[in-house]
Amino acid sequence: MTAPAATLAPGRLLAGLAGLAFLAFALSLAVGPSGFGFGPPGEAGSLIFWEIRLPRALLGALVGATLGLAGAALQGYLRNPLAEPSLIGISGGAALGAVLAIHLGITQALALALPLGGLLGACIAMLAVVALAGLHGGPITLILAGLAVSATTTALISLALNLSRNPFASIEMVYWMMGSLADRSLTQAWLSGPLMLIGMGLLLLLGRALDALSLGEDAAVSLGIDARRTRLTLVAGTALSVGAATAVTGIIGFVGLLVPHALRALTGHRPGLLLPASLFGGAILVLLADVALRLVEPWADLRIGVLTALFGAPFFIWLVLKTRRELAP
Amino acid sequence: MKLEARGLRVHLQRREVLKGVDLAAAAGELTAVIGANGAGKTTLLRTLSGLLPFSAGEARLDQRPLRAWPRAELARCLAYLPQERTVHWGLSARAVVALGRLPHQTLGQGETAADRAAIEAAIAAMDIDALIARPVLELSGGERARVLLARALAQEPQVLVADEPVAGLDPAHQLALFHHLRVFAASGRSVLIALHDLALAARFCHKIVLLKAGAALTSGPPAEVLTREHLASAYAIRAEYRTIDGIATVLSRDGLP
Amino acid sequence: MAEPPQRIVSLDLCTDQLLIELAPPERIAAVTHLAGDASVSAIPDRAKGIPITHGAAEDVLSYDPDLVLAGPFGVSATVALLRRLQRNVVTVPLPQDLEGVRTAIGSVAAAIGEAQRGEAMLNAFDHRLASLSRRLDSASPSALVYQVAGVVSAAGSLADAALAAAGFRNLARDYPLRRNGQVPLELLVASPPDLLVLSSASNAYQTPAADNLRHPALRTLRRTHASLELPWQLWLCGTPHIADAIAELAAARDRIKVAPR
Repeated sequence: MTAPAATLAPGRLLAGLAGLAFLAFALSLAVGPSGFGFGPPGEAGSLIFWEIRLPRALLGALVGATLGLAGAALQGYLRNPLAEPSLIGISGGAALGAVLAIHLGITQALALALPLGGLLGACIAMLAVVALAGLHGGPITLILAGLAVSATTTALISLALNLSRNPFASIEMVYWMMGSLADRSLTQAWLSGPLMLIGMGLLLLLGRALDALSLGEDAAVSLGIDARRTRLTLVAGTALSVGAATAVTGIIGFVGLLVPHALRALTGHRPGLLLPASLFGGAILVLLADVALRLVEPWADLRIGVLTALFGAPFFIWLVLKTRRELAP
Repeated sequence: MKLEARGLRVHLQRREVLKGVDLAAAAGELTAVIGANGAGKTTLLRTLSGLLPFSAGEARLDQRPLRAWPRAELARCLAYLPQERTVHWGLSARAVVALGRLPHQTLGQGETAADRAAIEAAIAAMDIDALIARPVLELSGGERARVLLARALAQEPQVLVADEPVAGLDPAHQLALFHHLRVFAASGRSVLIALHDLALAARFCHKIVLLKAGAALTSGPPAEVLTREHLASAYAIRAEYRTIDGIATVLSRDGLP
Repeated sequence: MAEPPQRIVSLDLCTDQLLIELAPPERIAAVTHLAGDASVSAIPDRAKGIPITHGAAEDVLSYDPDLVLAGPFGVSATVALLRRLQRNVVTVPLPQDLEGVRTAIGSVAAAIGEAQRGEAMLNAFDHRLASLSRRLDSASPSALVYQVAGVVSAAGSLADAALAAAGFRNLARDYPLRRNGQVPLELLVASPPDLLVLSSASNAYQTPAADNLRHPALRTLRRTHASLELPWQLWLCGTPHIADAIAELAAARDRIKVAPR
């Protein structure tokens, strides 16, 4: 008696995805407006590679990994295929936290306040969504609650920018609502990277719990899962990673929706294995999307948030229709 | 291991659902909890599995208070099979059975040889070898029930607690499943189930606890519990325990006004 | 000769500044709040004490103006309303070059009935420009005005004219600009200008939109290449103060040794 042959062995799947992620990372380093390759020769080239291309690729990988992993974790825990950080308001909360940290002047005293503000905002948004939807509502209820929280955070961000004495408020609004990886610096990578990694580490611990939760909460607890600790780990991990990521790139949506769905069949539908798979998958998606953006740059001025929404939104609509059909009597 | 309760009181949302229940599920025996809808069967099973807190009374597993059992250790000794046969994702049957090994695994560790052995033994015991590669969501009710029971068996528990394990199954599957439960109990484990079907309870269970409105009306061997008076009181029906062709059963006549 | 307007309201930062410098204070009824804002106005102190209007028609009418000066942006609905109510509204377009600045000075001076003062301002402006003018040819050093969000001053803008007057080639012509006028930082680093002109100090604005001014690559570039912080108050509007900007640029020009190409 052997394991079903349809799915890849976990080790091979993850190794394959990690390899692809590495390739995507290398590709991201080689693409840019000053030409293909690792920068022009000389000092300018070195500056371009280390200070412009490397931070962009690094943040692309980290943020993509974060969003993919957070999406998989949320879907696994909530047993809801529609869950995703931006759709249920977590990214919006993170952006609001970051905006307040900047415009209340806190980031001038402490640079770390930026990702911490994102963390706090993400945490509060998550608690708000759970308070509105409850943990046992249907999938559509959760999305509605997320919509309410997103609308609220968007309005508050707009208000905060309006009240700040800053002539670039409208540019900044676009910055937050449609995220971008352009012209990021290593400073931002150092600032948010560690927090993203800690958050991701926490989320990766949820594998066993998510597998057990496939059978429902009672069965999971009887299999030895600590429900409270699982919930806390999920909230902390998501707030840390998504909060820090959104604080330095703005809201990049739908990655956490697309990646788990694309990889679910390859992992045999096991939520635990989907976690690391989505981590690599998310990095691959964001890095490749960012490469595509830079290739079409002369003709179109797109931000990565726009690109992920262009593909993610129709997919989301299709998913909603599919879910409704499955839930309909 | 013996699973027992004494004077167990449980509140759910400010309502007292269990009002002092006594129960003992001994090793080697198949014990059934029966009663009308809303009598508290599921609540009793959940409480004895460590899923619900109780406000008064005692619950013990293997002479130790249930509260004193660390969650991880409890999971290795007691397997709980909920009434809802939910499986949220399109897992294969084998993957579902493998979930039963979680209490014996540590984080990051894959399947050990011991795990594989337990899984394969459970699959063999439940006769689902032909189904292992298929997604559980595509299986019929009877097949899914067997897969989920196999999951519980893979846990290699000393105590198996199952809430309505045969509800909605056709007669052949019901009989087969009960046969498996008897075999499991015979190997020295305790089995505690909640049950609606009085005939099955009469035929297969060593001991029956009859719940009425949150309290145990009576308990003991089937012949003692399933009397006309008890059944009339608990279910408002006219029924009685009979033995036909050497097989114990309950003959239900009609409801009482 | 008709009496010049006695209650003048200005609805635009640029006309604000021209009005304040050309008209006697008793004839100015109101200017915008931007005139006193040091981050955008070249003469914030001179706006002190002048009443402020935020541009709504009702507010403007409360001053009972006999002349309203408006710029090309923002208040078109208000301007249309005021015209329908038979108020005298003069629109002054934003100058795109130095000749446009002279036209703007002339228009405002004529509208407010201060032809003489306008003439004097023009003469002083021309005089100063003549002394500052530097030669511009293909061997001239290059410069780029790099603003918040990576936007650069393209050809045909007032800043472009200022660069040219100070003897710089505007390097914006050589970059493939994005639709919104931005230049990717990578291109800037790959082929930097001889003079990098920044419109604000790097920490002047605490907003992610201004992160590009604080980028480490830009800091390194500024260490190895000439750069100049030229506050945009000086060249945001078409006022004679653009000569101050040209003066600083000319001084920078003199300091640069052109690299052999």
